[in-house]
Amino acid sequence: MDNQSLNDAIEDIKLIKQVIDKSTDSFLSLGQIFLSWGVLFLFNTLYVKLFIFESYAKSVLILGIFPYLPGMKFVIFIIIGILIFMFFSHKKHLSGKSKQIMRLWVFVITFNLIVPKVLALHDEQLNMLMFEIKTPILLLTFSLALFFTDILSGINFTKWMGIIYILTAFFAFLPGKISPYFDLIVWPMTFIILGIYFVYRNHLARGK
Amino acid sequence: MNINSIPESFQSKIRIAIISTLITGDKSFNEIKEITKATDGNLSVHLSKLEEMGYLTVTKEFIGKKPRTTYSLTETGRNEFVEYVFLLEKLLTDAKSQN
Repeated sequence: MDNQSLNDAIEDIKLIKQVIDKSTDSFLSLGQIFLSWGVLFLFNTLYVKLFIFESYAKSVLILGIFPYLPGMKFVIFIIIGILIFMFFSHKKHLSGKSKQIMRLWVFVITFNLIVPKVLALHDEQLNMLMFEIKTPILLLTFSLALFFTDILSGINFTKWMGIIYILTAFFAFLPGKISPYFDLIVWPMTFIILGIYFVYRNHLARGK
Repeated sequence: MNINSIPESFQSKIRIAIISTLITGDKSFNEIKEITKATDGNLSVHLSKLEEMGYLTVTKEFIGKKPRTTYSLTETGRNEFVEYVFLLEKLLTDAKSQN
């Protein structure tokens, strides 16, 4: 065998590896971003559980001294979320379907984070209503995003997750059936499951 | 398949890149373009050639009002590609053992 054939073989193997890495890695970055966001939301849930629920009197006292603390926490969480996105998408470029999936989820997250806050500023009654229906709305918007994620990623798993979310959303609309704080579980759970799923899917694709 | 009978489809870098892209799943024209960094014209020519050879299939559909073309690897394309990768690996292993 001559050197030319050997060099060609090495180059071809290199090219195949590069292309496969490029076409599968974007799902890996997507998974890593979702997983990190899930952990971030989990910290938020723990903060609310430990700081607000467990030590309510102390939290009221602290909020009296630092009334802007919740707003600051919100801004800090948003900044951390953006930094996580920038870190992973800079390391491994999001492209094609994973880019579309990311856009969709950023829209859904923004909607669920911003709309209740804007309504709260406008009207106290609307704020109360939003508090009661924020969990079913969150579940419904997440289920839509899960259905579109299924269409874009081509795997049934997220569709089934979406069906469960829709059923839970209808159940949550019934008064007193599901705690209005259920969303504190839905946020981290959704992103941790999606993150693990996309990282696993990437792992499978590499194996094949 | 041996070193003297490598199919025409694997004698061009762009075609190897296209097939490697599709081995991880179906892709649209733009996705293949983004991954392979090929120009529209060049990519179209090679995609048509690979389709003629029976290596890939094309599905055209409408998502709302927008047309979408999806390319998928056929069983023949997948098998030939796997065989070609095995051949490359064998070449490298043989070369290592000779040294």
